[in-house]
Amino acid sequence: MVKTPIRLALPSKGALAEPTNTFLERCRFPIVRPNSRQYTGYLKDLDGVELLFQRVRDVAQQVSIGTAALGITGLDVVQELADPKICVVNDRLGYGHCRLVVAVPKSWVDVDTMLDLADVALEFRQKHERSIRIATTYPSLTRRFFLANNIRHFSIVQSEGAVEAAPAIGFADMVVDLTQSGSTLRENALKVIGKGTVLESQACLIANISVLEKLKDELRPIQYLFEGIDASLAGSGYRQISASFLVEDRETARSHLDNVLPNLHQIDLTLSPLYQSGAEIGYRAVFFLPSSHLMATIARLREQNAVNILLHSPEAVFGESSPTWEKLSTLLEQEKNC
Amino acid sequence: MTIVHINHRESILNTIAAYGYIYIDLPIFEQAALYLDHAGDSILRSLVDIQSGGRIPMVLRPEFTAGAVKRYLTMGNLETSRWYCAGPVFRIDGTNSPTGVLTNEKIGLEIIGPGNTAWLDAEAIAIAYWAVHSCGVTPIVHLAHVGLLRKLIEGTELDRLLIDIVMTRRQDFSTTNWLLDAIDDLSGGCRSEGESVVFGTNALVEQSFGERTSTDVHDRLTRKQRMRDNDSVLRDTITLLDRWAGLPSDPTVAISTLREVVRARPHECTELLDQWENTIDLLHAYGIPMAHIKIAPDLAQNWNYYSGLVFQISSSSSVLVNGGRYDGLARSLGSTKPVPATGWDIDITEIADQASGNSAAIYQPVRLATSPNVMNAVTQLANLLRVNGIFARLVPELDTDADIYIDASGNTWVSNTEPVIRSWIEIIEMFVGQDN
Repeated sequence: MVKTPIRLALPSKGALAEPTNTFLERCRFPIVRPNSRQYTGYLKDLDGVELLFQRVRDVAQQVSIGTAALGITGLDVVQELADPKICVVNDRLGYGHCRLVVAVPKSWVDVDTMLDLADVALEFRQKHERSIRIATTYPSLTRRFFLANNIRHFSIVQSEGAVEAAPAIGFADMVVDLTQSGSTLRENALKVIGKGTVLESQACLIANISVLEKLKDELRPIQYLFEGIDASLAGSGYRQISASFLVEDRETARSHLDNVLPNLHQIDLTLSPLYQSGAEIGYRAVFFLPSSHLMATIARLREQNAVNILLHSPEAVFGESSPTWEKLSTLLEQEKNC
Repeated sequence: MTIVHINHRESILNTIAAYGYIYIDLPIFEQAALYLDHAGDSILRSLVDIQSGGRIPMVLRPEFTAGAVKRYLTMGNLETSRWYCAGPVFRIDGTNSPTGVLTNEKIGLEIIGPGNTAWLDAEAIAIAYWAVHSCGVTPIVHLAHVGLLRKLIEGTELDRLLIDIVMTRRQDFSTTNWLLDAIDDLSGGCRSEGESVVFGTNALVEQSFGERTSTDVHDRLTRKQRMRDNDSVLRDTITLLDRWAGLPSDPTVAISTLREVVRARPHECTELLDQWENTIDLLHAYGIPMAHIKIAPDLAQNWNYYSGLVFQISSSSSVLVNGGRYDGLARSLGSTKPVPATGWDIDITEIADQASGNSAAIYQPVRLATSPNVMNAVTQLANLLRVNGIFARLVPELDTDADIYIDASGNTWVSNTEPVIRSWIEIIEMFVGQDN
């Protein structure tokens, strides 16, 4: 019997499209799309998964209605949609970073925080007898954020493009928009205000659990895919360091390492003799570290007279289990018990 | 709703009706605007939107009060309306409900229109107290006064924005750090004295658009700076909030403490405190033991429209009734003059949970078995019971072969013999007008 492939919806264009290709390639599942005008494709080296290329917003819609069981899209889109049929199984794929922010005209030099904005909203009501107008493509997130910040006198102008130009054109007083560096906002004479970050977004992996529950006997390729994703993400967070200590005995080398790595007992470490021209000249240590500790560790290695310090990036780190697969399994179990 | 819920519902409705209140139906769908300007934050965040397809955003009602005030205003009534209503209210609840919407069965009571404030507050609270009591739960009344607190803070000359912050965060009275954080947030642009206003004026030369003028911006900058520089106002407010937070739960001692606080404050504060004290005295007159009345300074409500006495009624473990005075709501809904009002709502599901196993006061209709041969007599019997205030339910063909009997609880009467039923009718008629 021919098995039904499980559909994974991916962004076809926009800021997330190319990084998604790169990401899956890094996970060792490169995308195969026969031509750019075709809306379907597949993953090389992984049978049983069909790719469906959609616009970023449509990826979430397709997962919601069940056309695709899985999807990769922006967390901002998923949060805005707030669809109970969509479950986020991994909210940190590590690319497509951006922030949804509240931005006001730079000329409002008296407005620095959301509290200021609450006051100005009241001022609009009293002086201009209308609510402050906010242009955005994220009406639900905006409404929730403003209400959470005790601002109730506002109206939302839903806009599908060039949101940042709305105040200059005159159909809104301020905006809630996505930004990466803030430069587009600045070019449009807008500034981001303090505590005005509505959402920190990045690419995320979503699933329609009720669709996957029906395919539960055919999820092996999905488990492999998730294992690959988690291993690749874990790999990008670690570095392998090797360094030599030109000392006479193993204990001295250990004591140098104790000074470099205060939590030595928690780290997997290889310490082996180092030879030159057939003679033992010292010991070479090899260990893994989180990337964030890298430079401080190298500085400490130098202090301990380590030489020949080499750095490697692991392509993938396979842990005891795949957190993304574990999460999906839990959700499937809950769905079964419902 | 289960039969237990229905019993408690009937018990509460009967208690309210005994005070001469009139039942009204209110729409389940309402315009979002009815709630957006007045509701508290937690309610606003959980309003259930309806994709109406029309131009006006619609929501499922999250409560009854705004709808009742709207009804009162459309009636053009100048007299005091004493109303009650019942039915579902709706909130977003993404975590627990498969539909994402939480539906609660509630009963609401509203007194809208002119009248003696202390008297009407006491009446509303007393009805809620006895309604909970009728379900077999021992109620405790918790009181606070939003109107008095607001007047006291206004007396410190705190900036209007900070007053709003204090009033919307009144559940956080145990610490005043949040107030200091708010001031830091607001005055961030004014760190070096004088500099900010100059900076502001210069910056206005830059591109400016919209309706905010350079004068608007300049005035606000000046105000922000004043807010930061006025240490004595801030100290005064924090002292006041500390004293408020420390009010004892005993009403007599709390009122006595507040007498000292209001002495140096505007006369309106003394008037509000007098009203509060009168209400507590009247609650006692309504038969509520003083041990069941507590002052709760940190009483938080989810609605911004409360303007006077606010209250909760709880069992030993959970809150069952939320309510309070909302004199300003009618005006914000379009009335040209303020309309005094107070009210509450009670959660049927919550009270059923609290009263489980305590069925002594639960409404139980008398069940009368009927069969074709005694239909006429049983119908007359049921009618006689009902007109004399006893609930009666006809149960078709219940156990029609049974002997004549009335069960030990008196709740099920069975007979196949018309003369027996006629004799019951005669006995009841003999007792009509007598106490038992």
